[in-house]
Amino acid sequence: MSQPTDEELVATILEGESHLYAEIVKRYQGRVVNYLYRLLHDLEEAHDLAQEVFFRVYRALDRFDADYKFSTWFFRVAQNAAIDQVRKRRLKLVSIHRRDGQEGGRGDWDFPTHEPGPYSRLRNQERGDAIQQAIDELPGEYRELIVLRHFGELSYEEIAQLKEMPLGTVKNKLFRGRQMLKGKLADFLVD
Amino acid sequence: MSDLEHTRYEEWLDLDQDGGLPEEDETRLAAHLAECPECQRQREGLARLHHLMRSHRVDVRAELCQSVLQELPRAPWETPQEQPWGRVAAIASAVVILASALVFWGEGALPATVSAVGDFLTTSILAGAGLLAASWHGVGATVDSWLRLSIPNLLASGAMVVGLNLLLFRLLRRRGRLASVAGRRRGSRDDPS
Repeated sequence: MSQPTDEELVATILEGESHLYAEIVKRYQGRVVNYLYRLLHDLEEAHDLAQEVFFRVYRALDRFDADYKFSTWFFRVAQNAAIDQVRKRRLKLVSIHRRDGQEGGRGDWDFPTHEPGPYSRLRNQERGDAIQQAIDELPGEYRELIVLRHFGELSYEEIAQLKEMPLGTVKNKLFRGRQMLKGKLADFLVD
Repeated sequence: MSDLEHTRYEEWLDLDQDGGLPEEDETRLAAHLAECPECQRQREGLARLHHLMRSHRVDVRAELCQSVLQELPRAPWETPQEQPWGRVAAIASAVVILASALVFWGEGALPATVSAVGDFLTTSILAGAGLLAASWHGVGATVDSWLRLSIPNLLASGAMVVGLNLLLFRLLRRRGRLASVAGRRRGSRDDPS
């Protein structure tokens, strides 16, 4: 039996089956936390804001237009929430400031790795820091698309709809963004 | 091969990594890769980049889902809970019974009280039949004679007035909330934030 689409779930929730919102949360929690983390640079804050995004989406569920993809609408809410949060914190989106050791920050990551030992953890952390720095150094519009594609897991079409951009432009910008990332992360892309 | 053509193959490599390349282009790309070491290196580099990004996703805390569901706010579009009419009727009856009990405690007031209550009901029926002027006069006279009987009667009538006003207020508020939900559903579908 195939899983219901997000749009079908929303319609059912609006008919009174509000407990099905748990399924929406499960489907989107990983994507939205990762997306918000890349913008806010703080894991604790990303979780808190993700929760707020779920609340906002739930309250406004009756305003979702089924002619569009739910994921696009969801991430529009997440994007605006992140912008509001950044404004509150007066934090520049492009930051090269490392936040090692901050509670709830990168020091608490549990990286998947097959290599045992402290050296591998250190190497992993270096890679994580380098990825974040490389993303932060991208020009704004490339950075946004990279974060939406790789961490928000939106498709090209969804990104085009969200950013109100032609599909060809999305493909082109993602291609160029990745070329830039490859250059910045060259040391980590070799054996 | 021109640079422009080669750039196109590089773009295809990028799309191919994302699974976004049409099948016919995949075939052409595969044929090109067979004879272009540069593009083979590019593909390898892109694959590593994708793997690097995937492997550095943060873990979501296990309690996030539970926390969201436990603290989920009530949404405006959710159907407001129906006020059972039985509860309303019970409150109104309690007010009437309380008022009557207070009335019957008045010394020597029993016959006059029964007559006053009867007059009150009669004038209420006449008001419903459209004889508003007469009924108001009748209500006024009945209330006046009732209030003159004793202080408990005064308190009882005060309690009844308060109770009826509370009931009216709740009914009006419920009606306003229903109208608001209907209005929101017909409203725009813009970003809620």
